[in-house]
Amino acid sequence: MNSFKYIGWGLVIIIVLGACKKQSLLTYNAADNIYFFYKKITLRLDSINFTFAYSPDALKDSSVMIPFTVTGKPAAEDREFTVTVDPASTTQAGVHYILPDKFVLAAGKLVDSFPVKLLRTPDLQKGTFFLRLNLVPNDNFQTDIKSIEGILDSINTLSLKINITDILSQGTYWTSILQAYFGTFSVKKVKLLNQVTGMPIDIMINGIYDLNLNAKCAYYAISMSRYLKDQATAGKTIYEDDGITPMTMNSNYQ
Amino acid sequence: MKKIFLYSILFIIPAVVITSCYKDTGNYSYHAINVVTIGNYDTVKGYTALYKDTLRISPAIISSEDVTDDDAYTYKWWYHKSTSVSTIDDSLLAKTKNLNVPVNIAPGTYILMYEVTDKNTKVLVHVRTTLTVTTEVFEGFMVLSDVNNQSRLDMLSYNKTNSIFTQFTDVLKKQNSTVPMNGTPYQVHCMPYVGTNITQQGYGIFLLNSVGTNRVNQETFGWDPTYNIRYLMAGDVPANFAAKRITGLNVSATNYLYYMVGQDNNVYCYSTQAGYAFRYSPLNVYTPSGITFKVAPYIATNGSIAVMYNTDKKTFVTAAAASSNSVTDVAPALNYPTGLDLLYMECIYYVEAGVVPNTYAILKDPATQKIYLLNFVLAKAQTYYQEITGTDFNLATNYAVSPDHNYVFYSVGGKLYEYDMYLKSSFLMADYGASSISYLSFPHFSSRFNKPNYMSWSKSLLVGVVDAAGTAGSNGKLDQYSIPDVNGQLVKTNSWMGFGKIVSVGYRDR
Repeated sequence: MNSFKYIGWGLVIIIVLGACKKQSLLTYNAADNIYFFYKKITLRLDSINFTFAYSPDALKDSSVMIPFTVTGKPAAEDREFTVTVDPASTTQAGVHYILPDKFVLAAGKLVDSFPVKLLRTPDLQKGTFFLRLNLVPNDNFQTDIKSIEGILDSINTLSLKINITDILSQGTYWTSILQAYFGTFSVKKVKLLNQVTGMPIDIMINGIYDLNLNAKCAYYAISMSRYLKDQATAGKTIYEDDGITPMTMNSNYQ
Repeated sequence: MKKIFLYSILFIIPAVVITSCYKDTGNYSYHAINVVTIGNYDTVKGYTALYKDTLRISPAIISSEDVTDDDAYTYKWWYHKSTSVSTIDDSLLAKTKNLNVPVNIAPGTYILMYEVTDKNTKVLVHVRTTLTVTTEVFEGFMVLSDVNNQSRLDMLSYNKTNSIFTQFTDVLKKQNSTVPMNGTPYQVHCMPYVGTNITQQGYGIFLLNSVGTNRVNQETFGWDPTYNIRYLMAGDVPANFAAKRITGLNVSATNYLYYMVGQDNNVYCYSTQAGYAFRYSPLNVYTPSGITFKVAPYIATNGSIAVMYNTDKKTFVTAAAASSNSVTDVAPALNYPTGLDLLYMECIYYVEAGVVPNTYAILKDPATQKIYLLNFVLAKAQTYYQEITGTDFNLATNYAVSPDHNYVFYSVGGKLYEYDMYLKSSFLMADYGASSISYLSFPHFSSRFNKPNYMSWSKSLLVGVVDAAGTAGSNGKLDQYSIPDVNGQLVKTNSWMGFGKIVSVGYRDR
């Protein structure tokens, strides 16, 4: 009878030892998803603002690279995916934009981009048009990642809006910096400044990177003031587009 | 069986318990490790090396355990800009026991660090000292002379360690510089023009002559076309733009202010606070786009306000700020005179505690031919305005006002006079006989604070003398005098010969 106890204990020990099996690791197991991955500096966005306004007149088209990314493992071969144009888009295919024939994620990559060729049509000078591209599922990819929480709001990762314009706008720095030299903004004024003094058209966006900005602006404003005065003296006063307001620089530079 | 089983458990359990609770008594037997000190390493005077030369230092490793094998240690030599505390500025020089490296570090003062690590104990010992990298033309007086209507720059290079000046005649030729000097010389001016917050190499050595205005490289005096003054100007500047005169003030380590009088007789202003460029729009106007008036080539500034002289209207005008694009007539309440011709003006100013922008102007009444001295602290009301009754003052050709005495020095031919403003009389201080005095100044240093030599030299008069009978190019002499109180005779402190006709003297300071 006693031997039963020992056998019993032995069995218990064996069972206990046997129960401690090493657990196998859990690995990633989900479908590959595709979604747009556009970031401006570090901020994730779902719209791209593109302008032709600061480019020279000779530039007639430009390609924008649309970045996207996928989940899952990189593949050894190219994988196609599907992009559709949202019917709400105000731009017209072939007129304002040209999309590639195929949308391909290159082999071995997880982040890639495809080009959208934008065409500089005259109607862009009067308004802003947009192209909305949507990602839809296909054999290679699902579209389960629909949004990502950004800093300010929720970013739609399956639909990307590209705003296109050729309107020369005053940008962020006109009221804060340039107005002190050149006065109120007008497209006519900026183009005339560019013509008369050589002021670059993109000064509204790139000027802040120029160490000599203040000295150059002072020179442009004074030279322009002289030119405007000379024209007025010769009886050819230059007016703004309304035909009534004479064009002037800021009062400190007149 | 049961008993054996029970007894074995009774034995095993306490055995296990007892052995698991052994007290850890620790290890209290210490032994000495190798303690390293570094000898033969000058931490007091530091080391000086010539740029592009080789620096050799052989320290001694003194070991307490007599570990003398070179391989027992690893070594590191670093240098580091002395004013910086960030380790980003550390640069590795060598990993050998002795230092034997070419000095490719820009001239200046650095901290040199030496680290020795014992491979066995991993203990690190380090020492630091200063390393000064100099060149033969590190600092000194820059003497610009006229030699047969061409410009020549000579240098009195100063070695601070042994207080010796070495004279380099035609220092630009010695340095193989190609800066254009084939015109009549106007001025040499040394001062930073951009702070170290923008670039490490922002010191300007400006050379003005009739063929152009150029800078030269601050260390090598080299030149290429981008050193032309036009590259510091914003606007549509003509290719042949040249300046006659530059006035500059070092307001702070990041704030430099310049006024330049072009050969077009217009005034242009440069400030690091207003775009780091000379605005190519004349300042001698009453409205930014107005017509220019004729302006005298003398400008006084305190770092923000500037005072100039309108020679058409014969009145003082003032620019309110470094960013100004026009001037206004000075307020009548300041009591500056009008209707006179300006012969000379200078503002003696350093941005130091206790120093005010003391401005002196010498004016002549075109009707009566009388000459007057005007004194005011810049932008404040006039405090002295009286006729100058000094000997032959109407024949004076050079002027210089003492920064720390009420004396106006002037030269008539070969005679040097000291005019005391309050005694209203002149004292003959030097007579060079048949030679003539071509230059007078109290040199302006861009920064002299806490530098005893510069302090003393800024208050000493420099007199350039030329002997017409001598050989052009070596008939010039430079004398330096210290100025005693109570109109005492000037004391000659230095004298150098072998220049051309001296036109301007600057100081390349450090």
